[in-house]
Amino acid sequence: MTYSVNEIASLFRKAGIGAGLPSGMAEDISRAGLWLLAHDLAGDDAVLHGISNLEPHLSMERADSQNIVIHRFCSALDGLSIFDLATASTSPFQARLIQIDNPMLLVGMAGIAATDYNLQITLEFSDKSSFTVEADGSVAGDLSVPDRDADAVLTCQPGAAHQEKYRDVSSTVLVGDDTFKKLLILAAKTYVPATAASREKGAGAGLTDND
Amino acid sequence: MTPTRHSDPRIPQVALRPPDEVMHLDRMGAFFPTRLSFMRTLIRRLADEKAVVSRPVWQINSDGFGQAVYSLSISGHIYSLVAFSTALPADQRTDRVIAEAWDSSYVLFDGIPTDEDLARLKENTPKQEAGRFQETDLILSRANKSVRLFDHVVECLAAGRQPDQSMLLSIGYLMRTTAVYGNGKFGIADRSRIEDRPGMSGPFQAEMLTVWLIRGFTHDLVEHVARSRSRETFVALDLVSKRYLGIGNATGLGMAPFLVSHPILINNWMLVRETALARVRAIQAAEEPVIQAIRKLMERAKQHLDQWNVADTVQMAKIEKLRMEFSSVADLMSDAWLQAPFPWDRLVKDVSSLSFECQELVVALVLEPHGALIDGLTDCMASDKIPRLTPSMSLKKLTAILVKNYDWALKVDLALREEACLFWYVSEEKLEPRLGDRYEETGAELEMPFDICKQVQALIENLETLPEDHSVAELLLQYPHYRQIVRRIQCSEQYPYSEIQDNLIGAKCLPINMLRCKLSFFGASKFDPKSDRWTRITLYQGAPLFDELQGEDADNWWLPVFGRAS
Repeated sequence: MTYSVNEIASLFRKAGIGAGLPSGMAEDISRAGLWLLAHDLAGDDAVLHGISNLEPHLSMERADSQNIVIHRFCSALDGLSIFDLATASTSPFQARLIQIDNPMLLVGMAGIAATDYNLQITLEFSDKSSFTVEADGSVAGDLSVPDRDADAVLTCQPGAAHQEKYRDVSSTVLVGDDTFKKLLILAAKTYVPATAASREKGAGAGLTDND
Repeated sequence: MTPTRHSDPRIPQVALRPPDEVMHLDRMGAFFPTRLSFMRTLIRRLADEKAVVSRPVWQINSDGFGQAVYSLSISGHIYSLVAFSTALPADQRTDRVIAEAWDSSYVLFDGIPTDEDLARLKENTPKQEAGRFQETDLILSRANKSVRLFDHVVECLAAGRQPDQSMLLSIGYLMRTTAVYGNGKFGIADRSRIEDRPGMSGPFQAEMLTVWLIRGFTHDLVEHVARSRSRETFVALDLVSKRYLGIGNATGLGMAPFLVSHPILINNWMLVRETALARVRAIQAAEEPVIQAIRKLMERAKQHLDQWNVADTVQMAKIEKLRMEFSSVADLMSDAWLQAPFPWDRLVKDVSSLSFECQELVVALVLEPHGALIDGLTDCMASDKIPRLTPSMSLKKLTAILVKNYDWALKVDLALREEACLFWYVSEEKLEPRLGDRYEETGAELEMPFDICKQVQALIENLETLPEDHSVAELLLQYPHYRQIVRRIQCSEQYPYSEIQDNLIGAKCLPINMLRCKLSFFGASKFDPKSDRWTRITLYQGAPLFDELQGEDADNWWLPVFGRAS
């Protein structure tokens, strides 16, 4: 079914919080999902599966601040930090990500990081597919994103200066009905059951409305 | 053309009032509408464009039920209000967001609706949240009658007489809206669809247009029903009464989170308001026409205050104090006093010992006659930016910003029960934002992240244990739950008015102040608090009618006064 962008942004964010993510991470994962949908990729499924599996990585090895290896990479928990570190890096950045639980969500995060921080980000997956997100938001390469448990090498470098930002002109997004329902269930975990006491304090309470 | 930049070297301005003076709820909760308010901006645009409102559809029966369409063009784009009026049993009439039926419902449609569009909207609009909308539908709204006044006005007009003035004055509207939804809710268009269009780029312009058109519909509706009842004796509402009839609104906590979750937007609103004030205060000598205008405006403000009476004892006491203080301000402003250098700067300084209500009324007053100097600033009030993290920032710099901009949050003693007793949450009941007491109510584990003081204090404790040359990226790798508060703190460096500098979970936090602040930016007046969590207001009282946009007074309606001819 078709939804407004803002409806889905809000749903992704709430579902992320409902799944147990801190609100700041849920906001960025929502943006990653929307970036995918705007590029005709399955951002709805990526977000749902990403936030449904919040298992911490097994191990992280850091030779230095520019070279990182993460085993059993959890896209929802580790993905934002990987791009934060890439952004903060003062020299070309590389990470080896082993057994990625949700490669598609990682691609969405690459999309927002590239445009937010003017980066060129390349992901080369173990199944030989690869693509590059440019700082203007455009994507080059094979967009067939591998399934879960693929490995990837992520490289990052400053993007070309003064690039015109890609602007998503789509005004609606398509989300699968089943996925939508599952996201709604997660989002509902952020709602507090109503009580008579809480009702009495809301707008319009305490007056006759036929005045 | 009025320069539109916040800091334009061609325009003299004094120093802005700093955020730690302005961004407190007791002051924000005393704001008045100004000429920078969104309703005023919209009506100025409509008047400048000589916009003409047409009514291509009027299918309303003699009881006042049916559908109507109003259309107008703004900068080449046509917008139509599609209105549905339906019978509503008294036991279903409620202003609460939890209502499921209303006297009337509306969509602001992008263009001219076809018969198919009208059929679709007729099916969905009266259902409101339970309906489904599409991207041609820009705004969704509903309104309930003030049954008392609506029936009275029908009865009077049908009998050939004007309604009772005291009723008009005490109520002030025929209908009150209970929700005005925009930006993608329930499938309606995202703001991005219209944000680049002339006339729609400012904050809430589509919402304000909707409400102004609804107001006109209520005028037409009441006259239609009265005329249908007795065609022979019917008289139309006189212009003074009609102009005074605005649109009521019941506003609750749903509006409050916006001020916290849109820090850049709030910064821009505040920055424009403060910049406008700083420009006016820098005027060295008041010209005679401005002095005359100020004197007339003061007289109007006095009348407005006299006509502003509410049942809430706290607000009424504030109004009574304001009446006295404002009289003393008028006494101060002799001809000689006004002719001395920098009159507006002196005025703002001289009232600084008076109540916040009086200080902020004076702010709105001195802005009013200076449209040529400040109106262009309204172009700076919108923003499509969201706060972005700066992962490369050193923890030393982050700490420095935190200490500089959040010292108010560090001073709150969260060990005290009263400083942490409230929690903001979303109720499962129509997803209404509410406020609970964490010591007495369940659900605190699901609170919204408005505990800014708590987050700031926890963050600085961790920052003190980390090397200051580490980056924010390293911090968030270790403590990912700080992502949002770090982003807020970084945002505050570029957007100094982005944060309310009060503890929003403390017992002393009064949400009504957040509501009044936001509503004043809309242009609302006659704040009528019904508790510390919701208020009634009126919108567009005194505003031009559909056929008055061409008049010279189209922008002269700051603070409504009943009985004012124009």
